[in-house]
Amino acid sequence: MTDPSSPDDPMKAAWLSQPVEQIQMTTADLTAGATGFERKVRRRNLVEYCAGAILMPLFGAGALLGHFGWMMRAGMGLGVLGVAFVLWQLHRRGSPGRTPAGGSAESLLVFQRAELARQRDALRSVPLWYLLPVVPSFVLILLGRWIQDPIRGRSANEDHAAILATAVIGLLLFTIVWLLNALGASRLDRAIDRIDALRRE
Amino acid sequence: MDRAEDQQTRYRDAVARYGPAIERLARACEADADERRDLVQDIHVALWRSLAAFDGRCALGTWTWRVAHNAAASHVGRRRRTPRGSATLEALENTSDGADPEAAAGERQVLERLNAMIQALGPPDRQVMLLYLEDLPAAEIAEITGLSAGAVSVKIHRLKALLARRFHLGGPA
Repeated sequence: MTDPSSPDDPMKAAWLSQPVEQIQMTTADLTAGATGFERKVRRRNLVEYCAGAILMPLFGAGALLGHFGWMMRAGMGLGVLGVAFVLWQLHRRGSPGRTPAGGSAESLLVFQRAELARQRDALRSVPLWYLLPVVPSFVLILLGRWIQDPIRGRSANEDHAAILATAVIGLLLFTIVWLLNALGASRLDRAIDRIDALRRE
Repeated sequence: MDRAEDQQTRYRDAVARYGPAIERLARACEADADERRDLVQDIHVALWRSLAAFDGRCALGTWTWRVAHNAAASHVGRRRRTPRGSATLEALENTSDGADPEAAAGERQVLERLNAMIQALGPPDRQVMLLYLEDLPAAEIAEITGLSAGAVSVKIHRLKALLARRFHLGGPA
């Protein structure tokens, strides 16, 4: 591939003559390395599954056994469905079996464009499958609290103010996450445009 | 010979020919020693896995360079998360790294400064610079990167001028 014996530039000569330590990887090392990525994905998903395993029984118990009006119970029921949907999406999108089988031998620009497009699409879709599914539950629980299940011993004004504050905080968090993802996606769009321009040159 | 043996043979062949280049690539992409070791292992694993699907559509060298650079770009991309924080060749042409070329003329210092400069570059420029330093012809760099031969020639011309100005080691001004 290279002919270090006669590089035409002194920088090349310096570059090619630098001492390097070559690592030796056995087949066992390579196999272990190949499963390392799957292990990372499994570990990351496990944290999400554990959070789901805590939330779903809580919502489920509230929906079936809670002494609330139908709106809050329905909201909690929707919460179970929302969390289940998020976990299913996580499994579908992040299962190790769906990760690339090996290194890409596409040309560097094709690979880089595909990577940026994948990251952009992920940023655009996260709010849709990670946040939106729990919004109906959130809204119905707050409406139920407002209409059917005010906290006893607290004035209506105080109770409504607490519910509104919760709604505003939830809306703000949702909006911030959505905006950050949208900003990240448009930055990636610009990087993709730059690659497309390079490929047209 | 079965597929697993083919994969193993090609992997050994690729490592024998391009192992040192993989080490140099990792050194140019990662300043941190632990991250560098991880990157070298990532590249070896990516290369080994990819060679199970080697179909001869390009030469083993082109295949190896592509896999190695793509794995390195993914590794660096995971660390930097976004394309921000990378300089372009144009930006480097208009700045100085602050080092006195005469004072830091020792080969080790030169290589350290060169690696720092490469680490600051964004992917297309970084890749062309590394492939140029590996003494690959422009046509092969174009095939590996996906850039046109003309675009590679322009970049190489600018790289040579930049290297000559920063390091005072000869080449075109």
